[in-house]
Amino acid sequence: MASYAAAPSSAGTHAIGPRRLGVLLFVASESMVFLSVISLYSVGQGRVDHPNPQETLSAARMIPFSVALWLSSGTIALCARRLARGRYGGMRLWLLATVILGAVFLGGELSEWLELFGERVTAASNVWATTFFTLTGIHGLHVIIGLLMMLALLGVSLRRPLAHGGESGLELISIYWHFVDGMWVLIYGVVYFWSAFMAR
Amino acid sequence: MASVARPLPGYAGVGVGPPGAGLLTWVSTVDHKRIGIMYVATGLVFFAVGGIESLLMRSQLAQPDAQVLSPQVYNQVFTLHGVTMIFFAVMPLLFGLANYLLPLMIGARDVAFPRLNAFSYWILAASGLFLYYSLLSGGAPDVGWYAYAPLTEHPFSPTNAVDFYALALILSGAGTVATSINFVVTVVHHRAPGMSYNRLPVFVWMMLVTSALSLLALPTLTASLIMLLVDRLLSGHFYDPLGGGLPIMWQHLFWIFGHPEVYILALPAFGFISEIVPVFSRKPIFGYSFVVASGIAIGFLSFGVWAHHMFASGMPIIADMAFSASTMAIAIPTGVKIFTWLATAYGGAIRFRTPMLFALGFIAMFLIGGLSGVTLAVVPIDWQVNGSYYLVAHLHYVAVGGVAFAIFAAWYYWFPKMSGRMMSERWGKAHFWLFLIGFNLTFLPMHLLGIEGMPRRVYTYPAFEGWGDLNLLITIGAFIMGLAVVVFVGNVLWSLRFGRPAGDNPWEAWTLEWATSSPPPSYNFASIPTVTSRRPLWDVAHPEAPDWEHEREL
Repeated sequence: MASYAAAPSSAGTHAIGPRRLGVLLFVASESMVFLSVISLYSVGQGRVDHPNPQETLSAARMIPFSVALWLSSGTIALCARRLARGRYGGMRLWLLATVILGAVFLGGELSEWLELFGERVTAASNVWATTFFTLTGIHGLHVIIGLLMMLALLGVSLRRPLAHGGESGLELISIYWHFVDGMWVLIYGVVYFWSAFMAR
Repeated sequence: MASVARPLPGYAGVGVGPPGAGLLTWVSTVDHKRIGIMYVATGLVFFAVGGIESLLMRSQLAQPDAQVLSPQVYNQVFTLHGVTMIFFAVMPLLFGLANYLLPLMIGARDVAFPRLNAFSYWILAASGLFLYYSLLSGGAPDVGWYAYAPLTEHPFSPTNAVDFYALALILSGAGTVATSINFVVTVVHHRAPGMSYNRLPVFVWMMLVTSALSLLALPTLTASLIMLLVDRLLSGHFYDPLGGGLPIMWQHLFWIFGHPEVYILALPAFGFISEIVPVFSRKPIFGYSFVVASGIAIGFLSFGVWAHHMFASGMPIIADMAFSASTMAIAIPTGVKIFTWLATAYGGAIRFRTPMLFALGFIAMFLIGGLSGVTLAVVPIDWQVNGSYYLVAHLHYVAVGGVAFAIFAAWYYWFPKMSGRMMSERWGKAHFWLFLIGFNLTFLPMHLLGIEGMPRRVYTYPAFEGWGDLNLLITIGAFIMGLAVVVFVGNVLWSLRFGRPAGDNPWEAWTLEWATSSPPPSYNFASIPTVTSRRPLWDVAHPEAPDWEHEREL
């Protein structure tokens, strides 16, 4: 009996803590929202005359903004590293850099939207435009939520030292942020590279 | 060392206040048991509402050319009935019971994120009210529970009803996803010492699979509803053929959610039965690993069968064949479950108490529903009976004969734990027999009506079709079911006051929830128990022959 009772406890030896696991499950769930819309995009994009991605979108124009977003995944990792070493000044700097890079991306997307609106391309134009605005809109909303969380964290860090480690707020936000950046790889690949550039 | 209670993260300082009875303590509670009870109570209220809606429909259909409901109202009533029963009656009843039981069964003091748990409940309750608020804004949704495009597009549904439908389901989906995250993290992180995955109660295993399905299936519904709202509110074209959209994509996305959803409802029910049949047969469950593995197999397969809802939509023949085959394949793990329950009961000293009666009723009725499901997987048969009452019969044998029977079994089984009092056996048996008879009178004749060609979702039918007699019989059966539910509610109210005190373990059961007092204290376990086998309370009661000595054989 003793051997059973002393068998290793089911709990206690986990590499992934509860909060981290919770966020990982959440982004896994969110990814299905993106995959659903992307699947409709790939079904619907070839079926339209005008506006269509080949004429309206520029794959090159979004490159600098996309790179800014992908770089921000690196800066938030540097931010976590500074935090782990207790260097709060550097941590705040890299967090601010992440927010700025995210905002640059958002600005790029917004200017593209406004340009399209100027050409009278809206969600009501045709199925391609509907899907394009919905997909980039849902992604942009995720970016905005990420930026708000980071700004809140920045505010907290000015008042008291942040926790660090796998279960810390910064670590949980960066999981979400990597997910948002990763989704943009998929969206850039399908929308800008495949449907706008390759199909030209 | 392993038996030392470790502090539970996320628990400290919440939910341990004095167990006051004031309304405010319920509103502010984060105790999984109170939240579970609120879920169950909400589910019962919506179950009554959805039941009244079905009786309204049956009153209209009792005779040919009747005029109890207008066609417009009839459409709203059958839509509300479906949405209410699935999302706001059965889901809260299942997730509420799981909320109550899951932490107790694994020896935890609460779920991993108690405040998130309260959020899940309140957003679900609010979204249920939100759906019904549509009645005040000019009429309820009238597009059926699966709301096929392009009927839901603005030109065909100009009122706000479909927007209410979409928003209510998006909100309730968010609550379900949050609960599912909570359940998975709780099981991974808060099991008592010794509670290995190989010793988890089958119900907990089924909730793990259900949570995984919810996490992946519900966001698909959310996305398709967001796209529907874009179509309706921003003049989009996702499902609008004039703008290049494809209405068929709604069907695909909806059923990629919808078929896993069927198992999100069925797997917890399987879990209930797998807990109840062994206790009332006085035997350990037969083939534990097969019961668990078949549940996991059903979870995987459930994502590969969605288009069997769409055989009539003109898919390529190869798709018809593939989905026909995958649908028949899912009957195999389901059959494994039926056989393990029968093998568990076989040769046992069966106690025919009310929970066991409902569990046996479940096995028989669910079997009929499962078999008619296999007939529907045969594409030529499906083409004949698609959209007829045959389908209505099938889905209710699964949803009522399956899920509702299991919920009643679970209710009678765990009510003593939750309230501290036994339900009346006499009235429980009256409830069972009335419900069983009423159920079969209602849904068995629907098979015949369907084969004879009576379409579903028609508000009336002409007398010359000769469907009047069977329809009258169905309506009588429906009202017998209604009477059974009245008996049930009376039994609950009576037992809450006058029921015999239950004691800790009235059924001589073996899982950890029965180690606590009835009802359990807010902290569940004063010291976290150490688990030595799949039946921890058996080991305590029978130290001379504990289960763990035989564990490798089980």
